[in-house]
Amino acid sequence: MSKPTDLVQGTVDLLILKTIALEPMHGWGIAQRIRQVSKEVLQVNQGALYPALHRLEQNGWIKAKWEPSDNNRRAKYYSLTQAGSKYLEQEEANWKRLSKAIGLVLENS
Amino acid sequence: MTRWIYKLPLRLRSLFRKSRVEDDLSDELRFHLEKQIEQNIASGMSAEEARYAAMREFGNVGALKEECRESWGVRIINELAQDLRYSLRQLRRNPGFTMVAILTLALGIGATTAIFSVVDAVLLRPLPFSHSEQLVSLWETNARLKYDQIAVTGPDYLAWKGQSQVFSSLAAGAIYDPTLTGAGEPEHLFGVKVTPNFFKVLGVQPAIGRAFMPKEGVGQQAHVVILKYQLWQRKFGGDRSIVGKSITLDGEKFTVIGIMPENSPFPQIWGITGPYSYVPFSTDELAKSKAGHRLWVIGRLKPGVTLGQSRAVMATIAERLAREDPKTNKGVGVNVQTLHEEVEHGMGWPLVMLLIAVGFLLLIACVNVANMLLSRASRRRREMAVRLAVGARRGRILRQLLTESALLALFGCIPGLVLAYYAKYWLIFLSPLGMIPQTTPIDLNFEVLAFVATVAVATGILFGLAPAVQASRTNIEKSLKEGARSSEGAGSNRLRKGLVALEVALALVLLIGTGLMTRSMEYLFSQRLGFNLKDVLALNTDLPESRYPKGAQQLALDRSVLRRVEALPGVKSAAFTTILPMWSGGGGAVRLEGQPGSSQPIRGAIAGLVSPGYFQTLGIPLVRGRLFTDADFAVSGQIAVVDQTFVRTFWPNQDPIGKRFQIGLGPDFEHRWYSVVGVVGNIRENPVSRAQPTVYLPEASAYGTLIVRTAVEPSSLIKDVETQVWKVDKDLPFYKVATLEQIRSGTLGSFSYLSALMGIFSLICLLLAAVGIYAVLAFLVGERTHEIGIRMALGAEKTDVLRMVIRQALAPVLIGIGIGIAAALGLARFLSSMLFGVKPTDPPTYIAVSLILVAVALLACYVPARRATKVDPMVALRYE
Repeated sequence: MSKPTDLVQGTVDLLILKTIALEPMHGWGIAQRIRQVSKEVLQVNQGALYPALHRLEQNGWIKAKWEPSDNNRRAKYYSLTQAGSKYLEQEEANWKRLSKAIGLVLENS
Repeated sequence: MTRWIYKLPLRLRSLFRKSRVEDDLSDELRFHLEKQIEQNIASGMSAEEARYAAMREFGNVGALKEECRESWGVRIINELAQDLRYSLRQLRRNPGFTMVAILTLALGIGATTAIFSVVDAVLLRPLPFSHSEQLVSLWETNARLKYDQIAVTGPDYLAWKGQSQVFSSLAAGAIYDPTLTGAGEPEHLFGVKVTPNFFKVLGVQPAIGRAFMPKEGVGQQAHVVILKYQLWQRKFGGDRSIVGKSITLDGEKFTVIGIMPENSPFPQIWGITGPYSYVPFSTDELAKSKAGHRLWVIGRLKPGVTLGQSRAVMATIAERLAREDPKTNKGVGVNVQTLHEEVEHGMGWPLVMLLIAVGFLLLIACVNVANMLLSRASRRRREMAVRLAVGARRGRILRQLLTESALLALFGCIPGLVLAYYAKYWLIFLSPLGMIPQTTPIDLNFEVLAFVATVAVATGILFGLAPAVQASRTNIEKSLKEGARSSEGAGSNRLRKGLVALEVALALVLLIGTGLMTRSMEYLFSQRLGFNLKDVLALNTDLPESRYPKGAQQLALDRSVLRRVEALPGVKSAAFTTILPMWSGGGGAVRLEGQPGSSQPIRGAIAGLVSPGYFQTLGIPLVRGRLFTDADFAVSGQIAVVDQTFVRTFWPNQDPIGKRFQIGLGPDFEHRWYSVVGVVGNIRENPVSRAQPTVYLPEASAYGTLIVRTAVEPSSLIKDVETQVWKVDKDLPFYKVATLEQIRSGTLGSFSYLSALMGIFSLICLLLAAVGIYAVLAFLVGERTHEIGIRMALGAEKTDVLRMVIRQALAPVLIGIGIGIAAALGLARFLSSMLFGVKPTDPPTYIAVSLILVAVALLACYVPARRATKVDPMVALRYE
């Protein structure tokens, strides 16, 4: 069993990776997208977001590029690396397995 | 793995483009903030409200940035760089402290490095010859006389060479000091005669010219010579054309065929280092002298042969030689040891001891610096408290303080290395000649430098750890309060006192070691050897058989020489002898008249052929009967003089005068019976050996030593004596000339030198310990000024205060003495091999040293104690 913080950290990583798998985004955009898609349930604030982004970048799962954004200011856009997309597949699979298992326990015990 | 393509550039950027990366982070977060503000405005807030809401939601930007930075993975490097900068600043702000600390450390590190460089060169590194582990040296042994390092005879060497299969090559050499004439001033060269394969055995070659060829060792002696580099430079101006020309050695022409390389190594045997000249031995010369023990032999083992195997093979050969030639070789064995061991000649243990002693010095230096750091730490309490209060982790503070200590240690290395360089130079320069083997050059090489670095880091941690831990445990509350002058608690004071006790213990152990050695020296030098050492000159000579084939010629020569030498002004008496204490020996098995031969165990005696003046020249007293007269000095005699030990051994409680015995000295002595006419006093080789039964025969010999008792300084007469001898025979070689006192200093010199060194270390340690005690006490008294003021205000007398302070000082000192004595008692055992005439647990030494330490401690107390009594209660009470 991993520690609670590990669980949360891993979850945020997963959400981020999945979000930018579709298209490169900056931090604000990622947070907004996650909010929208989860119907306001998951609200990742910057205290969790940016450390996660930087960690993922340092680990080589995602890469970053500074581009001019919609309001002509430059922003840091993140996208998946090749290793990152493989990692995403792995973690998605793990998550599905985990939630199925938890579901079984909650139903039957 | 492919991730590193991304990871590495990021890391490097974080390290080297830090400001850029920081700016990017700020930009990124600001972007997010502005977006949030926009959203807030869009949902209806005013510009100001939007801004405040966004910022509130954002929270602590600083902490957020810090968390991001964490992930960069370069935190540790950055922190280390920060620590270094901060530490340097701190050290610069307290120049006095820094200087003293660095110098103290430099002393410890420098001394330790100097000694270690010697230990490294002598004990740890292999000899500077190729495959030096294959090199061995061989000696003859005589089980009867209990000698195991006898010089080898020529015929024995040739026999070994021919018969042994375990060596790829065996070479022999002897001292040969020719006089060089015809090139500026005549110069007495310290050289060697070696068999031509000598260079092959060692694997060294002349730099210019060539080595000896095998044919130059066959038949007559080849008149070729190889010169030392320095001699070539000095005498012949480094002129290459000297090779091929001839020079004059001892009046004969020798062709120079080679020059050795500048720093070519030479195995230090018999104290020979770097011979000035090499001439080849011829087999003719070697085959002749059966009785002449004058060669050293070195060899190279065949690959794969072990030392044990070679010993076994040589033992067999020795046995065979003994059977073939019992007159000369009975009981003669062979001792094979590695050349490294030979060159080391017993310096191993003393050097290790010196290293330990200097290690103590380093420890005491560390303790002093630790104490200094503790004192400084207490003054920095406030700084520590503030740092802790604003959020520094204790671990971080610990790391920073350790960085300071490490820096001190590393800075201490620089003057330390300078000290080590000079110390090493003087160490070797002042040592008795030949004591410190220098076959492997002693320099501050890579291993030594690595050692220094390790020592430095270790000492840094050693003395830095305790104070750093102390400081990081600072209680924030207490330290930040105004007027927090009272100490950080009993903990740090206990630590200080503990360090004092440790210092005292270390100093005590070292002092006891020195004290024991000093007493041993006293003992050794006071021992009477049974003869008078002062003002006696000794010159070794060899009568070539070609000119002196028979005893009659030898006798004639002896008589003429003695007559001439004794006629010299300043000479009291002279004699020829084949045995000389500390110098040369010889002997054989004794058979008493009236004893059935085979059933008795063989007992031996030292035997020498001496001219009548021997006893007078050496100052050996007559006990019974009479000494020899000139008339007794004959070709082959029938009378003998023996010493008291001989009488005690062979004719206990009987009158020996008139009794007869035989002595097995060689074929010529086979059937002679000697009758005792006198008994003389015992003599001993050196202060630690027992007297052996000794026999003196009044006969001439083909080799031996001319001894001369002088009324003036013996060395001043060397030239005159040689001249007189050469008037009789101008071609008589002399080798090994010395005064008896020089010989004795030679044997005792090493010991005196070691004792002197130990003495110096002890003194330095004592000084350091005194300074350390003073510093700690000054601090403790300073801390208690307030308390002393109160006590005095309440009526305490000055003497009470004095007593209090001294009691505080003496407590750790006495504990230290206790620990030290216990340690010394345990360790002294290891010293017992080097002690003479004194037990390792010698009570007077222990008591004397303890008293010295107490006295030193009291002295160190003096100033702080007086200061304590001078405290004005009013002043003390006013300031907190």
